[in-house]
This record gives sequence, C-alpha cells and structure tokens, in this order.
Amino acid sequence: MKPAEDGRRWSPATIALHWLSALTIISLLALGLIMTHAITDTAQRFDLYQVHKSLGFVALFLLACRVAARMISRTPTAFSVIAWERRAATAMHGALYLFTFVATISGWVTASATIIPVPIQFFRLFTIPNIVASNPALEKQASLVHTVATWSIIVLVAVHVLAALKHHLVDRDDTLRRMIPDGSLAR
Amino acid sequence: MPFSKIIRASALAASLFGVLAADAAPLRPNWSIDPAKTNIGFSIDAVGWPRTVGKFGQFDGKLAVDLDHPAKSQIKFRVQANSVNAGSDGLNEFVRSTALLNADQFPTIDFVSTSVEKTSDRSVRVVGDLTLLGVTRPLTVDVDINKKSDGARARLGFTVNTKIDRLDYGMTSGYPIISRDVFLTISTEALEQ
Repeated sequence: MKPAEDGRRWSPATIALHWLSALTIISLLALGLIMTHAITDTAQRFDLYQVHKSLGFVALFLLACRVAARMISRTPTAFSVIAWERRAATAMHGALYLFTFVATISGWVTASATIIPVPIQFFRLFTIPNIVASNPALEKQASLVHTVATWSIIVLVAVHVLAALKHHLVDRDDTLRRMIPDGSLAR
Repeated sequence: MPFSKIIRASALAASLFGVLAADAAPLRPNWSIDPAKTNIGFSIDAVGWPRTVGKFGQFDGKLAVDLDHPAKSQIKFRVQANSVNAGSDGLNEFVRSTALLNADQFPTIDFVSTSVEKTSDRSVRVVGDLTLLGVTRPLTVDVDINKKSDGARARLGFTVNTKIDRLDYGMTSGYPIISRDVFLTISTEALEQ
C-alpha cells in the first residue's frame, strides 16, 4: 500500500505543496516587514516590493493547487481523540487558507488601486494585469485588509507551528512526521 | 591686388563678419563641460517612502562665458532622459517609463538660457527655458561660480540648487503620493577652450 493511501499520511503532492507554501508565505511575511520597516533606500525598497508582489502570486497559485489537492486526495485521520482539538485543527487549516487568500487578493487590489502606476511584473518576466482601476480610497481599504490578514497569518502560523510541536514533543504522535517527506511513522 | 592682400582682406572681412555674427548668433561656446566633474542630481519625496535620489549620466553642455560682461553669457544644457539612474534597474525602468520621464517619446531634457545677470562676484542669476516632456517653461536659477585654475587652463565651477514643479510639465503621475517638487542639484566644471 502506498504511504499516501494508508490513511495515515498526507499525499506527496500535499506534502510538497505544504512546504513550498510555508517557504513562500514565510518569505512574504519577512519581505513585507523588512521592505516596509527596515529598508531606507528607495531603489532597494522598490525592488523588494516587486519581489513581494511576484511571490504573492506564487502563494496564490500554490493555494489553488493545495485546495485542489485537498479535494482530490484523502485527508488522513487526526490523531487527537479530543473533539475540540479536531475541530480546532480543521478550523486552523481553513483559516490559514482563507487568510492567505484574503492577504494575496488584498495585496493585488492594493498594487492595482495605487495611484503610483508601477506595473505588476512577475519576476520581470511578464506583466500581470491590474485587478481594479486606480482608486486611492480603495487602495487604503485594501491595504488595511492586507495588513490585518498578514498579522492574522503571523498569529495563525505561530499557533500552527506550536500545535505541531506539541503533537510531536508532548503527545509524541505522528502529526508532524506524516507531513515530512519519507518520514517514518512511529506507529 | 596681390594674392596675399586678397587673402588678408578676406581674413579681415571674415573676422569682422565673425564679430557681427557673434552678436546675432545665439551661442558661440568658448567653454566646455568636464563630464568627469559634472553631476546632475535630483531628489524627490513620496509619502511613506525614503527620499529618492538619482542622477543623469549622459549630458552635454555648451557655455559662452563672458567674464567681463556676464549678461552676454549663454548656457545650453542637454540631458539624456534615458541615462537616469535612481539606484536599480527596476526603478530606472519605472522612472524612464511613460509614467514619469517618458524617455522614448521625449529623449532629452533641455535648458537654454535667455538672460544672465550678475548678482555678486561669485554668483549669477540665469533665466532660461526648461523643456521637459516636450513642455517648455521659464526657469530662473541662481548659480554659484567658483573660479579655479589647473595651471594650464582656467576652470569655472558652477553649482545650482533649485526645484521645479513637475506638474507644470504635465508629469502628474503618482501625485500627491509622489511629491510635485523635484529638487535639482547640478554641479559642473567648465574648461576654457
């Protein structure tokens, strides 16, 4: 029986998408904070904004793939026998998907609605069209939504990581191991 | 008339004509810009952004300087819009784009003086026309002059600090997040020909 089909492990596609998303989202969060708070050179900040925008579209694409992968592959059985923990885990995954969607779309709206007409170029390879017309009021609202969604993701990711570590170190179950490629399961 | 006299007379006529023509001609440059000692810089503010500082790398200046009669001096300056450097390829591309300098359609930024007035022993006020994005507007600048010599040839150092309102030239993109005021700092040295 293939590991993905034994009902205890996530599918290889889901595992790959999970870690790629983790890398992309953590890079986006770090870039976002650095470019808005730490960089004092305009050109550097401008360049980081363009990378941030490009990575945002990577995150959006990965999110679509993850939702598709979740829909076509089996979700492994949760280890926890406590009902509220199972519900919390499901809610956490849903919230991470939702806030990633909100953060990326609100970022796209912000970049489109700004009155500074910098085209959205995906890693300088091709131009991604604006999703809305220039609109300063909308930019302000979208930027606020982007900030709230971003900080929500930071909190959710922290809880998500702590929960995974709690399963691994305290409960000593396979919750974390089954998300690791070729990680041997304890039971 | 001997041939040598004809030559001499022709030369005299030519030189006289040259003097007369000089009065009518707009510019007869006698000083050249030293590109290595020329800096054409700009800075502009934007809300939520650090001050953007940049410069232009390609330019050409022609100076007709009359030290005894400053009012007879003339200045022509041409800057290549494409040579803008704001610190990174990505930002340069944006500054050159139709949003700001529109360098493909308007490849040069030109300043031509219309009058020069001495304001002190070391400064003049230059009134001229600045053409940017195809729009020509009058611009008055105070120029600090520093006379130098490198031994063989006389040098004149010029320093200008001024600002222009980019909206006057139809460069409205990004306003009011990107400020309307563009600060220009130009320093150059000219060598006597």
